[in-house]
Amino acid sequence: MKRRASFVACLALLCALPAIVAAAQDPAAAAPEFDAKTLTRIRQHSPRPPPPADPTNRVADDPRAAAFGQRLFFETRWSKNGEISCATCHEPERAFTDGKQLGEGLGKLERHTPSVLDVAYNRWFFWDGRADTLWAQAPGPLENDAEMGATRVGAAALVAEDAALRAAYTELFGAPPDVADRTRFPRDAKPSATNASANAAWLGMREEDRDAIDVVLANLAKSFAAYQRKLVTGPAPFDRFVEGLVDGDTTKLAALSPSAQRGLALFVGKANCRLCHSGPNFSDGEFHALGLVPLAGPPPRDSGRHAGAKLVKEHPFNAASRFSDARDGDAALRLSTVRSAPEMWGEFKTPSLRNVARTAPYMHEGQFTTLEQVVRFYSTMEGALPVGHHQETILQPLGLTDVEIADLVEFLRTLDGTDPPEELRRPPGAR
Amino acid sequence: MKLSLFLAALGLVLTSCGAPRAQETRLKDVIEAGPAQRENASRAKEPHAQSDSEAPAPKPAPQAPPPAWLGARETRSGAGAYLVRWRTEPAEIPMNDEFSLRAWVFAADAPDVVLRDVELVIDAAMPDHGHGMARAPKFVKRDDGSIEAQGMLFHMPGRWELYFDVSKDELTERAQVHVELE
Ligand code: HEC
Ligand code: HEC
Repeated sequence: MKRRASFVACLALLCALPAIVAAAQDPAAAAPEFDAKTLTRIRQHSPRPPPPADPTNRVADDPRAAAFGQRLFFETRWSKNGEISCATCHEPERAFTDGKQLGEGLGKLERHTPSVLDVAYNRWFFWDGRADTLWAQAPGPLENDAEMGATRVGAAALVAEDAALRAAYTELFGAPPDVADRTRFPRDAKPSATNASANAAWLGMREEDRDAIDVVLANLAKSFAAYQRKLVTGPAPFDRFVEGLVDGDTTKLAALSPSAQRGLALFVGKANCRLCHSGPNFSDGEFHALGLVPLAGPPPRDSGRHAGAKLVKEHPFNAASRFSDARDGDAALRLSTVRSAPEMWGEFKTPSLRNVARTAPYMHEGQFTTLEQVVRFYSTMEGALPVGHHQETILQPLGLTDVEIADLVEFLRTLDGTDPPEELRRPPGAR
Repeated sequence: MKLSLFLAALGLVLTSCGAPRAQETRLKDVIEAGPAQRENASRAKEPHAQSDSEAPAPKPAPQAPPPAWLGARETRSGAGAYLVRWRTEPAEIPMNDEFSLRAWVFAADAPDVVLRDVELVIDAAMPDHGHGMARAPKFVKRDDGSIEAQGMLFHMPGRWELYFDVSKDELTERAQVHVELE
């Protein structure tokens, strides 16, 4: 009630303020005047609340699990060549991405590496959403032979044999299983559709041994997640600007240049980016097909959400699995309502636009090098593949002017938040 | 808290009830009803909650708890045979957040008897965008004849259409409303 009253009271002032600020800075460049509807829309993007809880992970917000997870994130020993950690591709000094078009570990990947900054806000994980929780995501890269090529048995062995890892694990989850017997616990064993010998070794193990290993893997996964949940960025210039809209503080309003303010007006207005890049995280968390041409040329081979919707339900570590700490919770209900349909072919997750200036290149194959290229694509849709039968028909060429394109890019650059604390951006204990 | 309200209601029902048979059904209704109805049931027992009549009745006759569809939104099927009453939880459909929707079907000419021998399918779409919901909600049949669609999601702002397809004997009639999300 009170908030609404003060909101209304400020409204008249607010509409005029950006213009005043702009005039003071550069009389030639006009900042837009936001009407009430535009203001309401702008405020849907800020402030950003803390990340949602994850009841499927009982250690999600346990600082000890985060510290353990941080150790694991920078751990290279379990990778097949002993050199690759999560941070090899999610480099802290590159906003936890790798700057490459396609990810590269032991081999070349088929998709672009997204940032894990602010990842705790996401609803689905991976470009195709094939993981429904942050922790369910982690076993993928660990065991993928093109990424780290580790095995869950090898990982459990490292935890059992390394004194520091063992102590941290034990404090959180109890003592890890004794895997000293290498015939019972072959180090190269993991379930795999592509690695026949690893798969055979895995199937050769006793069921209760496989079970014990899976429990370790789930616990490690939950610790990776606890760490990544802390990689939250601080307020961006845009957030400061919205504060200014609310409290009328002109220094805060100066956080956005007139050009960025015009870009913002376009974003929530004529360009309608807010349709998909909605809410404080600038993402609806769902999936859309933009008709991007694959790097290898048409026709596209990556079915995106079409396969992801199926995979997420079959995922052995999903919210409804026996490893979940909330099997009947909201996440499990959400999972059970996932729809898979032919029109989802070629759909990919709407990425958050926070910190986007630091995470080039863009899109699921890193198709675009600059933000300007991205906005030009939305403007002309040049080269876009035709939408399939039954597919959504949201995107139309926007026909933006060069100034409008520059304004939108300028606005996107104001979504850059401050980095998480330095001690979270390096291996624990290192400096 | 809930339990004590419930017990209080029970006590009132027991002391003020006339016919034991009627009392049995009442108790059963109260027990089967969800917490909201239990609360309604207890509120209905407060002297002035139901009527403003001046002279209090010496012994108020027991009243059935108000049905859960009372005050719900209403929409008629296209050919006019059915009335669909529906409400959502939360009451206002949120933008890009899950909600549940509960619906009751009535014959248009008997709008106080919930039809139980019809099939109801609830769906939604954004016709301007050419897409439906990103979810396939879970349908739960409730004791009062209603259907609850759980896990509904309107993930984008704009115009959504909600469809209630009521089928009986191979004939389907659609009741339809639209919702504007900002
Ligand atoms: C070889 C490079 C590489 C390594 C090593 C790697 N990742 Fe990734 N990561 C990627 C790529 C590529 C994707 C996108 C894959 C996809 O969508 O199919 C990704 C996606 C993710 C996502 C999903 C983000 C989102 O919003 O959808 C998370 C979280 C993540 N990685 C965490 C990790 C963790 C934890 C590790 C270590 C266990 C790890 N990654 C190791 C390249 C890598
Ligand atoms: C129909 C939904 C939709 C609309 C409308 C939309 N986007 Fe996107 N956006 C997406 C999806 C989905 C992706 C990822 C596509 C892919 O990789 O295949 C994306 C990717 C992006 C990226 C790349 C981010 C990254 O990290 O790779 C940027 C930047 C972006 N959009 C900006 C915009 C702007 C600016 C507008 C308005 C002009 C806009 N989007 C409108 C759905 C949308």
